[in-house]
Amino acid sequence: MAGFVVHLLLIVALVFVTWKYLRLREMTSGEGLPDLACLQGLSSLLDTAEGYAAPHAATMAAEAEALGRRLGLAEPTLLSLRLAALVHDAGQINLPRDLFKKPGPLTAEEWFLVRTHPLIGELALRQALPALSDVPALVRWHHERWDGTGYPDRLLATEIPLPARILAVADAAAAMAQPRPYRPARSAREIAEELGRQAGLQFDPEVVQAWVAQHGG
Amino acid sequence: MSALLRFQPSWILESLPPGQVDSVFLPLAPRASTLFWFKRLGLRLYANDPVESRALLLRALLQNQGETFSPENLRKFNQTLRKPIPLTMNPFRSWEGRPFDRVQLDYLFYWREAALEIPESVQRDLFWAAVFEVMACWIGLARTGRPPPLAPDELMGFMLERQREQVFAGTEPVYALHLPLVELGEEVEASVFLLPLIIAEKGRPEQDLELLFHAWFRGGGDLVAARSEIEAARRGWIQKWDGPPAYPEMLRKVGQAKFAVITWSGGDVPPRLHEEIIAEPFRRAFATVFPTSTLHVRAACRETDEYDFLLVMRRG
Repeated sequence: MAGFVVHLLLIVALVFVTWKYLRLREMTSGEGLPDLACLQGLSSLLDTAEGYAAPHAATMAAEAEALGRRLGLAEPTLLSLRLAALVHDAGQINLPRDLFKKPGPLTAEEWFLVRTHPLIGELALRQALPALSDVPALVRWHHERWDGTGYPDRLLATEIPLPARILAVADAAAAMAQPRPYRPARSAREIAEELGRQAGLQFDPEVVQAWVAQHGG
Repeated sequence: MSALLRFQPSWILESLPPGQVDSVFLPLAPRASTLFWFKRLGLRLYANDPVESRALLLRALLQNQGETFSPENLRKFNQTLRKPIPLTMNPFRSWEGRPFDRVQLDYLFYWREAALEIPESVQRDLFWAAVFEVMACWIGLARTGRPPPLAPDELMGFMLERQREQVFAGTEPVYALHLPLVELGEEVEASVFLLPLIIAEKGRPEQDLELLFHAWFRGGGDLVAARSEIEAARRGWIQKWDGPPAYPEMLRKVGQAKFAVITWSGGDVPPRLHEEIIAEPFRRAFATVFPTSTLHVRAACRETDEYDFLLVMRRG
């Protein structure tokens, strides 16, 4: 019963988030910031369902924006980046919760389901957004890997648009900075080491370099 | 050479009527791993590439029904090099610093020789495929000057081990073909004729993974020759801004397909131009067989004005 209520709340939240986003797009200026703050609050609902103690999506959005600025992205792209970060895992609410909390390894079928969550998130956003908005695409590709083994499309290197590559690093860094039931929060140095190990494999080396520079490396 | 293409299999399937697609024919297949989605969903696949170095990746990773690189072969063919190999012996020596360093060049030479010694064809294909992935990693890191995360033999071992998570047995047959486009049989029957369209583009050769891998596979460092070979293999099937591909030749390959789907990506040029220069001529050329069509456009990145396109044409 509790699970059903959580699902229902999350679905209501996603619909609300999408509606808010639509309104935000119409504004496309600083006037939209109160809505962005609202979106941020709503995204924390998703974070709670994911088991994060602190707002993960908001931290990720801040990380992504800082990285985007360092890498020279223009303001409209930074706005897309922030918005995509706030709703990046919205597609997970349509999948069984147990899937993301399973202690053991996932079966091939379960992995296939997990790989659909960026698509579900993208689909929900596309239904609500103008056809040529880039936010759904960023949600679709935030789990792509630089080495072409990510999902859903297995894009390789620069086939993945730069903002999506930034989201991937920001997502990982923000997740590592938080404590999880199975490990303590990692320090900036530990995060830099881990990102460095994955540069050229999971992450774009240039974005990793930007993250390290951003955090005083 | 390897122009930008974001191949999105789920988008392609979404755009086709449910229940009407059981097989896909790709005369010029995209990178092997991008087709895993179709294979996982149980579609019968015919994936062709006229370029041998690319066709072997299709065989290794897509057609392969779950075979992985054996521990015996790993021990035998992925050794640690103790001494540098004289550069004069190395056919890839002109690549030093562009983009590979001296140690990487030694390994590229050694791995090619080792690959030729592997007797089993699937094992050999898997080994080639792992070198492709190692090269991709090195090229990416060379852009920033970051050192690789692992020593070359460790990285190679890692890539071979990772293939265990990639290759899998499908429920329907997958055929990786390596045929010249002119010889490609019209008898290949599939419900969808799918062409990921390559737009002619000449980037920096030392950053072009496809080009470097092809030259390495052929055993020479001459990137100009490698480029000529690839271009010759694809002649007539490349989209240029100043000239269309050979539509009649393409149309001859559609067989009895119910749908012809063309997908491509582009940046820096407004979507309207893609519609006028690429989509409309395709529509007109295919209209005799596929009279109805829909063009789908999606934004990929507003920073660089990148869009992805999907032209779906239906048989009349």
